Amino acid sequence: MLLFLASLLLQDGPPVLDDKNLKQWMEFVVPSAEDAAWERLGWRVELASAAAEAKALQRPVLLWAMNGHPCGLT
Amino acid sequence: MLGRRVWADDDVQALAKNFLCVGDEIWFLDNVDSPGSKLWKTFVKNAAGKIEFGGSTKQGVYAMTPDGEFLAGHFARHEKAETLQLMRDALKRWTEIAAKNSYKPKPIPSKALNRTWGADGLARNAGGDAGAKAATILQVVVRDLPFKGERQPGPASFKGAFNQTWLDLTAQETQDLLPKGGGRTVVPDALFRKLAKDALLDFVRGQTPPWSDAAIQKAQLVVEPAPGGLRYTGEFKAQEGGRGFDAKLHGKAVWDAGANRFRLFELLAVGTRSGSTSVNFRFQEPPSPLAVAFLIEDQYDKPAPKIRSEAPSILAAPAVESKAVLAPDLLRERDQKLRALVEADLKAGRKTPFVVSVIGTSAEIVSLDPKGGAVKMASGGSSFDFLWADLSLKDKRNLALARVRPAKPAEDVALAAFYEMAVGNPAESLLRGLPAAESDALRALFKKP
Repeated sequence: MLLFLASLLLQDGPPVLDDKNLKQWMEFVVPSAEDAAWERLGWRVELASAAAEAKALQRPVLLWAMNGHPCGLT
Repeated sequence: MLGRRVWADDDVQALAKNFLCVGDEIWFLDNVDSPGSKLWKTFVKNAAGKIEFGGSTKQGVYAMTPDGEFLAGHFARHEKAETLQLMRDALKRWTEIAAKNSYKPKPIPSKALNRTWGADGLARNAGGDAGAKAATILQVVVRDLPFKGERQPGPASFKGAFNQTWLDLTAQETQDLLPKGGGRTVVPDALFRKLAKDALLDFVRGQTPPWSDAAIQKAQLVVEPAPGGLRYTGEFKAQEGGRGFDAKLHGKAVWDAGANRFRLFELLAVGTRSGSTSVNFRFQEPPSPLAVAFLIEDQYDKPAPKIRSEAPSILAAPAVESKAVLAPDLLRERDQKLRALVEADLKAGRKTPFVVSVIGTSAEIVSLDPKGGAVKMASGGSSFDFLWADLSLKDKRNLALARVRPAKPAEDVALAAFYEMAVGNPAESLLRGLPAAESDALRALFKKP
């Protein structure tokens, strides 16, 4: 893994993928636990049902609205 | 996406936990009639004069009461300081409303972000087409690759940026990702184009339109059996309106034939992106390397992915694991017997096709190293290396059943019956072909305590 991380710095274009390095490049691309820290807020994914839940809990609603679902593509 | 970095901040999370947090798609809220859009429009009306929205979009962060009363909000991108201020302003107003109405806020149940949207499949506003008919839901992640000595290239505000989306596949589309006849198979053009048009895109920093059909100059994905499962290779090239992506694809998958679903799916496209669109924040940056990964969400954390199994079985009879506990010595003895029979078959020039779970289709053993356990297998005109030890109990059941010779010799039938019962299937039709003493002895092995 250390060799792979070192090789990242020398990478100057798309790598040539094969059966041996696929796993390491997948790990590089797929979000890490740190990348996913924003999910800890327990996002609901639809405004109307979230508002109904908030009403029952007597809580305010915080809406993050984007072009492209913010919990998916943006 | 910048927003994720802000929401990951500890200070932001401490205040945000006072709210019921929800993400939603602004175009749908603004343009498609729904209970959500009705509430959103109530909020926009109540926010008149308090928020300056953009001309074509109202994306941003907004705080409201459950009935859509304005608490706070700001249009478009948000950084930590302004997000904290927004939440403080909103909570100040909410505290007054709560006091006036004698609200007693209840704890907000923690909830994992379930992006497959439960029984209804992948929501349409998150990229879903198949609804409840979805058989496979793929997570798609896009990220810049190292470039010019930088592990995380690009301007400071976009370093480490990644983005993601989801795609759903029907049962037929799921089947179309498997090799036909067990050999090297080109994935149907329509299916690969569906994946490519919506996902082989540069949306690392923000949403970008899909490719048109005319933009795609090269698109081919091939699947073939490989050691341990399936291998995908392919290429893609598209050019449109000054932007382009030229990539090679490589991937692997493990198909669970018994459950009719992928146990693991990893497909990675790496290539060079060029140009920009009006909304993907690439501006005038020169061409650079980009990766797009397709996988099943949580496949690394759980033994089976969160997908439904509606695809038709490609096994003749789905096998289930035995409830009976078999002694390891007994399994080892039958395993050696099966190997010895296969070696004898090969010496006699006889090869038996049988379904191998990890490739989801039929293959035959063409050579077997009697000492090392290495197996060479062939399927649909291709050959690949395997290990005898990697054959599952279900694979051995499939092999033992398939290799029963036409004359039905007792040793073939007994072994097939053993493996049939070992995976939990009834074997009476086989047992009836054996001498009573032998069939009774086999039944006794699987008698539940």
